[in-house]
Amino acid sequence: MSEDFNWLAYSNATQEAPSESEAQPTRRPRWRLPTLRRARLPKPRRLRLPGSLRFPWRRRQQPAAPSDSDSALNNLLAQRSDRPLGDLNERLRALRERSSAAPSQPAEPALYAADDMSMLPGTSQPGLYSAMALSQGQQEQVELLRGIVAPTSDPRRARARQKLPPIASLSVQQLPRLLLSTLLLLALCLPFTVADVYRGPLPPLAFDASQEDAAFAFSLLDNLSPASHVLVAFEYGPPAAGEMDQLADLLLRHIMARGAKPILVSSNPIAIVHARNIMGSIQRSATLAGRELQENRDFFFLRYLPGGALGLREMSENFADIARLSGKGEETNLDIPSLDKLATILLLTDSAELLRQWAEQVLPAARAMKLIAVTSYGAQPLAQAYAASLQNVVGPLAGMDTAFTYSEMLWVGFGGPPRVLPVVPAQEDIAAQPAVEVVATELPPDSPAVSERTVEPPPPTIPASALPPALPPAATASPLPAATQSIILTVEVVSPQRVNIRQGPTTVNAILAHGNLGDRYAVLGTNGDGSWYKVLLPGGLEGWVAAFLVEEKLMLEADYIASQLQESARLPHERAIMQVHLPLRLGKPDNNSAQVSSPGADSALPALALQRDRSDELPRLDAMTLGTVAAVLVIALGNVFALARSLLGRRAAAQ
Amino acid sequence: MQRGRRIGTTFSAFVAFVVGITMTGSLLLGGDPKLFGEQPGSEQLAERLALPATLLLRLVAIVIALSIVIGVVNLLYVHITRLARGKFYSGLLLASFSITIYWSIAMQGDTSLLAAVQVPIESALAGLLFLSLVSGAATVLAKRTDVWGLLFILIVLFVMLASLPLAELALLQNWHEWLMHVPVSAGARAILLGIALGTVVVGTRALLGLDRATRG
Repeated sequence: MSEDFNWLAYSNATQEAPSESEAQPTRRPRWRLPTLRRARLPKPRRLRLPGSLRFPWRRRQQPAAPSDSDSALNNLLAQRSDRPLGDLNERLRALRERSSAAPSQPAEPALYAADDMSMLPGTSQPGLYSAMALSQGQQEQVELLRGIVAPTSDPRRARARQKLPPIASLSVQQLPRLLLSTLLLLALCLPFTVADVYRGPLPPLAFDASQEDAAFAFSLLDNLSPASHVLVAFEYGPPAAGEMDQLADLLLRHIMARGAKPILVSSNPIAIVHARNIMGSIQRSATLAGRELQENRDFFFLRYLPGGALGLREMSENFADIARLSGKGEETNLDIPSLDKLATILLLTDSAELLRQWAEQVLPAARAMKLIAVTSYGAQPLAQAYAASLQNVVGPLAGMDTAFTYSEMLWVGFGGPPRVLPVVPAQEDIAAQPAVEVVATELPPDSPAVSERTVEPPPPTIPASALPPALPPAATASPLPAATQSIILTVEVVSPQRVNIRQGPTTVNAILAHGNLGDRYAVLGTNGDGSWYKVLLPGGLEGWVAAFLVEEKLMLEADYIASQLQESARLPHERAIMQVHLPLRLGKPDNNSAQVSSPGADSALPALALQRDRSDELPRLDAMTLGTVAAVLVIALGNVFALARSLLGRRAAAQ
Repeated sequence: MQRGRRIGTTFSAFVAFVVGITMTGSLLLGGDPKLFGEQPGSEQLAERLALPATLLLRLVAIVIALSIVIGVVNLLYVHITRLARGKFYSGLLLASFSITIYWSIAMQGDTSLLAAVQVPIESALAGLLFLSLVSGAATVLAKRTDVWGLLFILIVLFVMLASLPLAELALLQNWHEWLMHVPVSAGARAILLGIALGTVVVGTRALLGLDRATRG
């Protein structure tokens, strides 16, 4: 297929007799098999270096003798038959008439050969896009894109460049990009080659108030029961692997270290194979830690789910059948009748659309189960908006900074020594919430709203005799940070009936948790009229409870933490994590808070989390920071330069 | 001929209509056992009502799996045809296809080929995209010097600066939070609403046989 195919003219062929040029027999039927006799090897061409370096077979791009159509697009266009005008609605009819009135493009040989179609500037072929009826705005967008992709479309500059020898022409054309690319690559690679080249503030050691979804996700996975099943959806491909592998690896290790069993599934055939690589790495770690992990016993790979949303729907409706066989066709021996029997769902995706599909097709079958969403940076804004509107979606977690904090919490939680950080980040968000810290001597119990009583954290001056009893043994075994000697305001449930703790200070807001008589929560603030308390729930989540259902109590922060540890943390390593987590949530960011005790020898779980290689975490973070700085510089300076050149060019043209 | 085509069109529209209504009804009625109250047997009733949807979904899965096989066969056919005309890259594709198939069968599911070839290549391409985007953004004002171009660049710079973990940029980070939570969130919700409405319209058209695809 070598002549210009004008689809506008073709579309009218059903109503009018085709003109001679349009009626040329140009396409052979698809059912005609190619013969080897037709295969013609191209003649080798004299190689011209360096500007015209090209492969010999590229000769076929030359507008030589007409060849058969090898363009799928041409075949598609040739075989389509447009509807008659009578079948069209008013809008389509108007569009057809407008298109028919447009001047047809002159035919050029070899225009639509698939290998020849090019949008690069300088190749001013009246291609398919210009044959279509583009509006003026669309044409402008096309021209803008062409200009941005290769800023060499200016005919004057192109002519000037043609006068230069090939090497010089190449240099002039490519030099700015070469410089920009070198600068960016340098910024990205430097942290991996030079130690401490740049070290900005690192992410916090534990999730703070601004990351409550991440804290909740950590808490959910940390409270998994041994032998429970977690559905892990691997929905990101290799392009996002560099960004998401770290967090995926950590989450899988966390699940398995708690004794739960991940069931991996994907609607992306490559992603499920990639998940095998990550699981292979965890298996090797486990072997080093003295435990063999086996497929179909400790973890499961289900088959690939074709069909996008339909495939997910089929899985949610027929989960028992799908879970019966592994991806290799082996028996998994999983006896899970439906999705709601799982502990939770973990979704790792690089697309907000996939989060929507999972939330719509799978989550309803899982009933009240939580779905923890982990997305790439690119998908986060859209995913965040969607997740915020769904009660059962936690997250989205994204980014290497989240992975860093998660890794640190997991590391410390499983008994690893705290990382020595050169720079401790400022916890401004937490410092801005000192509503929990009050000085006992200044606060009568019937004082007004908590927010009005808030004081900045000076150390409390409470006589030792006035302090409540000492910490219980479980907590005293591991020395708590000094910051925990302050007094906090809590509320105790006084209603004999179960009380609702909601997402916001109205009864319209969703219920996050329930409180029973005697339960205590740290107060983070109140609403405007003091009718609702904002409280800290076990696991780090914040909720609102109605004031008439609770009663204010003052207590030592250490006492409060100890009680929370006893209530919510069943195992030593959980207590260790809570000891890091709770002081931070209560407005006590302290570097010493990471100095928690080891879980000790009674931890029955393998220390999988300790085996992960974390040597590249800091260089990655530094590379991200430096790369962003370099990109900002390049974009800002590039645009200033381009703007100045554009303005000077206009002035010169005006003169 | 015309008559036959009309019969075919009517038949396909009828099939689409029946399948669509059955599927919708089955999913709606069988999806939630609580729809029939807490009475004994309501779960069994819901399961029975969900059965047509379950069967149809299984059929869909089989059809989709078959379509993938057909897609692979078609891909091979197209590239064998192109190879016969001397297209080198088609030959490369066919060779890669053969090696991958052989490798996965012979090596019993070994994924080192993916880890060593595909993941690095695709990750590198994603990285190159970053370089291209920065390069394009650096020259955008030279191509269109107007207020929209300037606004675009300013927002790009603002978002990138705010994503830096520097304490000196705390103010920018607060604004960034607002930008993400208000305008971006609003836009995202608008897009989602549009998708939802579009899905309803397309679904209704398909069910009523108004879609050309279901009319043959």
